[in-house]
Amino acid sequence: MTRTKKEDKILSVLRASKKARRSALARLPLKVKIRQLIEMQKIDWATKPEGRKPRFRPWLSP
Amino acid sequence: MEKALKILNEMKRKKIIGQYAIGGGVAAIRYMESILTYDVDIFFIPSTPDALLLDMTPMITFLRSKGGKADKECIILEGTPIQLIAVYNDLVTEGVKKALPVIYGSVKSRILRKEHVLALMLQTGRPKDFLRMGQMFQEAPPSKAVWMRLVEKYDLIKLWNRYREKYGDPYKEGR
Repeated sequence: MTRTKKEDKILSVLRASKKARRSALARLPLKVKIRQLIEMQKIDWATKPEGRKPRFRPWLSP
Repeated sequence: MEKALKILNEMKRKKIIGQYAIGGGVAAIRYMESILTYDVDIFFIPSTPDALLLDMTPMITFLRSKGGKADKECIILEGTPIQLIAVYNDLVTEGVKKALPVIYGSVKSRILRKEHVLALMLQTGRPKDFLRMGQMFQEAPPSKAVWMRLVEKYDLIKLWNRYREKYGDPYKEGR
């Protein structure tokens, strides 16, 4: 199935937005990104079942 | 992590280790959006770089005196797992020597340049390294000239070609 021009346009807008968001996130200060990392660790830790938990616990502070 | 970096700086000031730099996932995070990692890789030049054997005793004694606890291959400092890795080849040594200064909160530290982070991922070659490489090339590619100089200098061309065959050339137009 081929995409219509309208669908192509929507996809390119989506891709450009995603790229812009990633680029904005990449420019954040390291400490802010480490705070985000700790949030990711907490979610990862909480959602993994026993026996498949990561080797280390989430960090205490950034 | 900030408190752990303070302790590492003190260790360097006391000449227990030589120069150090943050590497691994945390260094990658410096250049792109956050990715999941659970430890901080610290590459360091030993205080006696020419010794045939590396005596870890002074480091361990010092870190224990600061409340550090050994856990698997890491030392947990203020709740952050730190993996201390003595430089093990010329690429890592260059990475540490040419690392960029970074201010983290109130602490001065040093972090590997993006081309060294990428080259070490390429050299290590685990699936997660290749995934991170793809993301880093998208978000923070080094200039092609800088990258190729490193690839050629450290004989990574075969690995680089294998990476390009599998994942495509990040420097190719339109990617």
